Amino acid sequence: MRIFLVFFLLSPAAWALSVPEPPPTPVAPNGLAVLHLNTAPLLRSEVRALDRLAKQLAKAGRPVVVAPAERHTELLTRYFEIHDPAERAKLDLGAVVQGEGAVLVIRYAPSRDNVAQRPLGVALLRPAAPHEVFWIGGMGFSEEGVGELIKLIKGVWEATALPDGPAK
Amino acid sequence: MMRLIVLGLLALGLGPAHAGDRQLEVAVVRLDDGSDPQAKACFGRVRAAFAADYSVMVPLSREAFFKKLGIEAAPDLLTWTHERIAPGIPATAEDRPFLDALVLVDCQPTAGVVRALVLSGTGNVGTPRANLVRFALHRTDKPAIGWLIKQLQMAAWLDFSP
Repeated sequence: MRIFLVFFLLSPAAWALSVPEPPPTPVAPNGLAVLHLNTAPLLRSEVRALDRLAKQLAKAGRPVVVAPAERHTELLTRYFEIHDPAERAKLDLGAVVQGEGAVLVIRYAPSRDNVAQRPLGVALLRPAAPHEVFWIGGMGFSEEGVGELIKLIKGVWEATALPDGPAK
Repeated sequence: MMRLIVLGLLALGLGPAHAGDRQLEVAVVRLDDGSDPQAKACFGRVRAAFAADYSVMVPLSREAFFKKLGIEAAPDLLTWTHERIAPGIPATAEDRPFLDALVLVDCQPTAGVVRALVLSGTGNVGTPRANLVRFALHRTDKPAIGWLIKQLQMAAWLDFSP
């Protein structure tokens, strides 16, 4: 029994159990955390689009951190599936929007008809309640349309000028 | 000569950059009750933007739309489904066989929110195969509405076929 205990404590399983969950990614006050929430693997074009987005926003002076939604996956999946705004407002989005920056969530869903046309959810959340600034469900972009996605995000980022001022 | 070629190329590039040679047939419907002048102005901007785009505006009033749906006031727009909206889709004339997009807009500047729903896809607008895109924007200032209009237009052109 003792030998088993020693082996267990030295085993990778015991280490995995003891490693605490990593802290949330820090975001600069004027920055943007981009969380991607996927029910299907990202296409190469989508990965490139996110990279381009991060670079372009960084050039514009907005530090960007792109990461998978990970521990927020379940909550954010529900967030995109609830269409009633009053019901969405009941979700604890404050847990997602930690730190001082804004959070942009991008959800790629599995394709309906073909790989090139995937329904998409996009949302921008701000640190102060009510957290939702915009929410789009069901938008589809073609392969060629990934550039439009970047324009969309850049456009709303500039139009809403978050998080410098409160939503009007 | 070079100048003429450049001018010619510029002239060619001045037309709308949409696929095909047919304009988008779109119905844009206001869902606010018309009592708030700010809401009226907000919807007016959306409608004017579509009218100024490469599109044919299919007339559909709020009253006619609601009558077809059998309702008097708009319930929460974002919860609407294909099936719920389908009875409100206008029948198209023989010489105009397609409705390419239906855009429903609920501007509520007093509450600080604009909600919109776009059904699109040539020949599919009244069917479950239509794209259904829902929007909620919690800003009603000019730049934000301008941004939203671009997204509505992009959604309306989804699956357009000439």
